[in-house]
Amino acid sequence: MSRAYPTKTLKRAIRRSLAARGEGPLPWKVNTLKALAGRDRHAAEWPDFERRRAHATERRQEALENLDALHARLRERWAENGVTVHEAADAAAAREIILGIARRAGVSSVVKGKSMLGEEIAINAALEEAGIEPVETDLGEYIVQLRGEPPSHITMPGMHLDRRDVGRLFADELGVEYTENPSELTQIARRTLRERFLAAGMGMVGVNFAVAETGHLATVTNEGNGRMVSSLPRVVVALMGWERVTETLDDLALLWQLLARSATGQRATVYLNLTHGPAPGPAGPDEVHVVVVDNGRRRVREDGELSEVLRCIRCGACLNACPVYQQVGGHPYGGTYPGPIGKVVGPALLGLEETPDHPFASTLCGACEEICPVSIPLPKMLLALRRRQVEGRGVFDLERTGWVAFRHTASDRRRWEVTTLLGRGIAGLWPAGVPGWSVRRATPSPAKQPFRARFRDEEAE
Amino acid sequence: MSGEVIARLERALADVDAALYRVAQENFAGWLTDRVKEWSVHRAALSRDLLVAELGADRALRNAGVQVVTASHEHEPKGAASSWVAEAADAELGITSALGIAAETGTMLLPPHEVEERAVSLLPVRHLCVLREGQVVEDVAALFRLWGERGPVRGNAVLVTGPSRTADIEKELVLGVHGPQAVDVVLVAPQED
Repeated sequence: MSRAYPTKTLKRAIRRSLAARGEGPLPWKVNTLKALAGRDRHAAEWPDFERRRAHATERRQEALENLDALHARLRERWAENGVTVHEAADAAAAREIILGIARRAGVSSVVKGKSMLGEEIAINAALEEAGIEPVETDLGEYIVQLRGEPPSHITMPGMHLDRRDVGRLFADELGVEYTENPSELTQIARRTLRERFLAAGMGMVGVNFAVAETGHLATVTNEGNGRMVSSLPRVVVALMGWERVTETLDDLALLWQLLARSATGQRATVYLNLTHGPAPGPAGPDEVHVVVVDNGRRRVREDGELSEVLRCIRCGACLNACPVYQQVGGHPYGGTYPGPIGKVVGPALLGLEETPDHPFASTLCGACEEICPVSIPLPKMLLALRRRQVEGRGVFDLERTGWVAFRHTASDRRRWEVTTLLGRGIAGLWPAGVPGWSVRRATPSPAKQPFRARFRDEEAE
Repeated sequence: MSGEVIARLERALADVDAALYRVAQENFAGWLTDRVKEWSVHRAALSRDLLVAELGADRALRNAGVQVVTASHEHEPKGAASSWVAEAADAELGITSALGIAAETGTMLLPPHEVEERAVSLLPVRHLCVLREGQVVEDVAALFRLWGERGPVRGNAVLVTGPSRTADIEKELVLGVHGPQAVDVVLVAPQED
């Protein structure tokens, strides 16, 4: 994530989003509910869903604990398979590596499959600055790219748009006749993007999982753009988070199906691409590169309270289940990862100074933890982050001082009576009320008599 | 192969908007001829799978007046602009076999080919996959095991479950985004002796 998180941004953006949609149901609310219904239907189909979920949780946790050993095996396989490996300590390093590959390949455009990690390292801006055109090929990503916006959801980037938005966008940007029919809009995108696929010299895909036992890089799509991007261009770059390793193809079978069911309510995604290495023959990559990105993940793995967040398989189910996300959509969170997972991953990777509001943007209802296919205890982590936020504040912090004062006053009856008596007197002298608070709210007036006095009097009667 | 498993496969395929046909080997050529008329196919791309050849797809297509393109080893320039890929991209139909198909989800495993033929199952508007009944397995884990039984698990493979789809616009389903708009699976019944 390359942008800083100003403290007031979240609150301002939430107010703006709620105001922006004047009529009708919020598209992201409708869309998340549809996604949830699909997920429940297919989760219910597995009578032993909980057992599979427990197994997946265990396998992800084991992988995290053995990550160095798994990476060693991966490197061996990759060397055998002819895959060129690059290590990126952070986002800047990852950008440099990818630009280097693109320059050496002499390409003017890069076709891209959807990659949240690509968003995280802000690769598109870097490519554009270098005079190389990044072309998003996932339909939702293509749409938000045309609009000049970031995606608002992990698996459904255009969640915040309806068909009229897309229709207007294509008419304006592509010069086609206006239509709001999703099928026609998709055909327009298919034609436009196919030309780009067939002409591209370089393709870039995200990696859902790397399989240590064979070295395969697994990429999941429904549209087929992952296949296009990883099998047609001469040079292919696979962008992978350091923690996205699983040991066996058996693990992959389970995690893939859990991902499909949790993300989009399908038994399986249409395509599971297994990229092994350069391919002989008349079409297909001469070069396959994998860029393994750390960008704070190693540090998170060592953090006892937060390390479990690395189990995440990026399904987006927590976003769909979250009552906060359902109301505001993805953009108000700012940065790469929205929703419950974003509220932990943001502070974990960027630090709390950059994302001070994130842990507080939650009702702690626990819906995210309940729906998570790998059982990540997000509420517990949010509480830990809140605690760290507060502990990190100095002695002169107003809120902290206020709590200390309250504790002091409320823990002794005499002190409480004296303070509230004084308070009632002062409030009587200050009709203007509390600065800031009273600008839009009626200031409540203190009671003439405290309840305990009234009770005492009535008891006496 | 039990009727129950095949029925399950049919339902799983229907759920992902793919169709299942059961055709006896000796009837395949006739069946394909009817289909290419129904689907208005002018050009078809074929993979070099053994089963596709055994079923006589090439001859049946040519007899029906369909132009047939097959990937060849010789003197092809590498890269997306290669003429083979451009031809496959223009075909209305691509025919391949697969390593196996999973009844639980309708997923087929298309294994790596010596000659890059991923384009055949990806670029044309329709993808037809032919398999023998014995190639139907229980689930995805079984597909991977089957792959392992054939030898070292290497090469660029893909698991395909139905036609290409998206719901990126208002969660409304649209078929045929970048990959095929239609996927048909033919289970070839064992030949009568």
